[in-house]
Amino acid sequence: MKRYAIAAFTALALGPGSASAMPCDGIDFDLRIAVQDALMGAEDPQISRLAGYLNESFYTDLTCRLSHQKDDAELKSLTGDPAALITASMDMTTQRNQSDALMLILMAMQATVVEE
Amino acid sequence: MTDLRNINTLESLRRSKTEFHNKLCRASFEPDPLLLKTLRSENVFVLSEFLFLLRAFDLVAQPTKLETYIEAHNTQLRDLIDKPEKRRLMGLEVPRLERGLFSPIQMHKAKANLLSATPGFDQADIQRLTILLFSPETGRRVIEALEQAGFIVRIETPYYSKIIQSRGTAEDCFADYLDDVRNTVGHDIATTGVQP
Repeated sequence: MKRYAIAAFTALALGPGSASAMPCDGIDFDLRIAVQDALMGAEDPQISRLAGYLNESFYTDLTCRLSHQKDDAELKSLTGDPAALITASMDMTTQRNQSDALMLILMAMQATVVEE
Repeated sequence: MTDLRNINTLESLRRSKTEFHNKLCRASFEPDPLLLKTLRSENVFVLSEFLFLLRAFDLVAQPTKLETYIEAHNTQLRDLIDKPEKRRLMGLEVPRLERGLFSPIQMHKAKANLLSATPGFDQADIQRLTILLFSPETGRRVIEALEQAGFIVRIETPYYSKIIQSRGTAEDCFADYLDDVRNTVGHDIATTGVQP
C-alpha cells in the first residue's frame, strides 16, 4: 500500500497538474501551509523526506485539488493525518478510466431486460 | 486509406462529443462561466450517459426492473470486493465499494420512491449506483451542477432525503450524441468510398 502511495505521490508531484483547469485564484493559504506542514512533518521518513523536495507549485496544486473535492471537516481531518493525506492525493493523481465502470453498469441494466 | 477512414471516424466522434457539450451549455438555465465549464467536463458526460441508460432501460418507472438492476449492481460490487486484482485495475478501494452496496431496506425505499407523490431517485441511491464512476462527493457535485443548469430538480423530503427528478435534457442531449455518431461515422465511410 505504501509503495503505491509513494509512487502515486511522486506521480502527482512530477506529472502535469490539472490545477490550471480549476478556479484556484482564491486558494486558502492557511490550508496550503497546513498541507505542507502535515506532509513535511510526517513520522514516516520516506514521506517527509520526499515532501521536502517538493516545490511551492506542488503544494498549491494539491491544496487546490483538495479544496475542490473535500469539505471543511474532511480537510481538517486530512491535515491532521499525513497518511490519509497521501491516500487522498492518490485518488487525485490520475483520472480513472470510466469506460470499464460504464460497461459494468450497462451489463447490470441489461440484466433487467426480459427476453420474449 | 485505412488511416483516412480512421481519422474521419475519430473526427466524427470528437465533433459529436463537442456538440453534446455545446448543446448542454446552450440548454443551461444559467450562463455562469464556471457552471458552463463544469458542463463541459467528462464527469458530466458520464453522468449524462448514466441518466440516459436509466431512461432507456425504463428503470425510472418500473420498480421491479429497478430491483433487478440493484441486485445486479450489488452482485458486481461484491464481486469486485472479493477480487483484489480486478478491483485494483479499476482503481477502486473496498470502503468505497461498500458504500455503494444497497441494503434490503435501501432497495425497498428506492423502489417505493418511484411510486411516491414525487417519483424519482433518492440522491443517495444515485450516488450508490454511480459508485464505480465517482466518489459520492464527486457525484454530489456533478448532480448539483446539473441542478444549477436546470436539467434536474432536487426535492427535499421530510425524511432528510433528496429526490432527484430529471427534466430529460441531459438524456436527450446524450441520445442526440449517439444519433450524431451513428449518422456522421456512416456518412464519413460512405464519402471516403471505403467499405467496412
